[in-house]
Amino acid sequence: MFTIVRRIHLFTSVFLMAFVAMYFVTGFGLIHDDWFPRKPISTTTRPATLQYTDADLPYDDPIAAGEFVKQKLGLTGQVNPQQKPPAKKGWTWRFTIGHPGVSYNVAVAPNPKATTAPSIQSTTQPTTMPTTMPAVIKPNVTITEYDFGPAGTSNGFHRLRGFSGGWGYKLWSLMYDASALSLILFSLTGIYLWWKLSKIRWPGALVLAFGILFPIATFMFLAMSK
Amino acid sequence: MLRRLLLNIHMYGGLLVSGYLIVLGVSSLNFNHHFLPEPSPPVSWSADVAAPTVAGESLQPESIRDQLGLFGSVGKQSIKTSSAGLLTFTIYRPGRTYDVSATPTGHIDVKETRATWFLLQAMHGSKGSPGSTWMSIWGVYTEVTTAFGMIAIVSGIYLFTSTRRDRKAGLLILLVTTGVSLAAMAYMHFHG
Repeated sequence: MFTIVRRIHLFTSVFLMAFVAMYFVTGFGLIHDDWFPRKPISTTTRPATLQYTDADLPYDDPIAAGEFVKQKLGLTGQVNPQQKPPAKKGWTWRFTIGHPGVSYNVAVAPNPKATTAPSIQSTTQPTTMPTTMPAVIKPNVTITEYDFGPAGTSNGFHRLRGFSGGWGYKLWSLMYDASALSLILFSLTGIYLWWKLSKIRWPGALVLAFGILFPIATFMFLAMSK
Repeated sequence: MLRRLLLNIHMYGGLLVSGYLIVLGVSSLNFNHHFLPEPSPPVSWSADVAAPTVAGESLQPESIRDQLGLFGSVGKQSIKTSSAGLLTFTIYRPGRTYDVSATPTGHIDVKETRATWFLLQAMHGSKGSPGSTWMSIWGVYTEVTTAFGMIAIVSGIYLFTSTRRDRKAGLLILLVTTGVSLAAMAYMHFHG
């Protein structure tokens, strides 16, 4: 039993070493956001045109709608896993798409309508000239791109989750889940190992009591205080 | 001697932050899978606070929060005053949101949203909440846990390499995990 638990502790710690080290390093940047500001270092906005059918932007599947928009507009990254549809069908969709360091806010208004300029009756132009202007399609999409720089990239990796966006994101999410489970196992197996390895247990018991009771007390404090 | 010292730091530091590591693990899983119960519907309640007696002064959100015995940060973007003098704002604290509206005379209506299980998420990495000493201590504990995370990695590498048992299997897992995580990071950074 001891050997199995020791191995679980060791292997989860090795896993954590590789993956969760990034979380502790980027987490330091997060809790000290005054030292590592996460505001965008540049913002650009551009218009675009997108024609679509209701099936392209399914109201019941906002992630699929986001994937369609991402592909058609040539954007890269992951559709926000919390993506919501507009409040009512037919209203403007607002997507958040991005990858660590870069984020796109995409507003997709209803399908553009081709507008035709009024007829031009001219006596001075040759008769071969068209008497109407070509159809003009007004842009119905606004893409705002935020570049967050190195601190924002670090923050982006820390907050990256969800299984949409391609193989890299799926792999990341699997590693993320494995590391979360490893954190729990690492902690529990560590307590077991301390219990088995220590001859004098009271100092460790005091430290452990604080380590377990303080989070429980904080949870209770937050749940029960006004 | 050094091994013993590092083992003690690793072991007692680990015991100190063991509860926090479990909070981090459970909340991280919820960030990815959303299994914790959703917040309950808002509840409304009212109270009266003392309005300023000096002419020209008006009730301020922080003063209302303190008089109501609440804590948390006031959302700066949420503060609005209507032409009739009705002040509205939102107070955020771990697991609770208070939508407050206050008349100039000090009558307060509060719509309170409770998300008890989301407290685990709110505790994840929290560095405190304005007006709460307890949460300031939790903020220190967050710092200690973050620092210990890095110390545990360094001491763990030393302890791991100083023994021959399971060295090969451990190194293999380390190499594969490091390779996969770096490849995924590079893919997302350069490919998007």
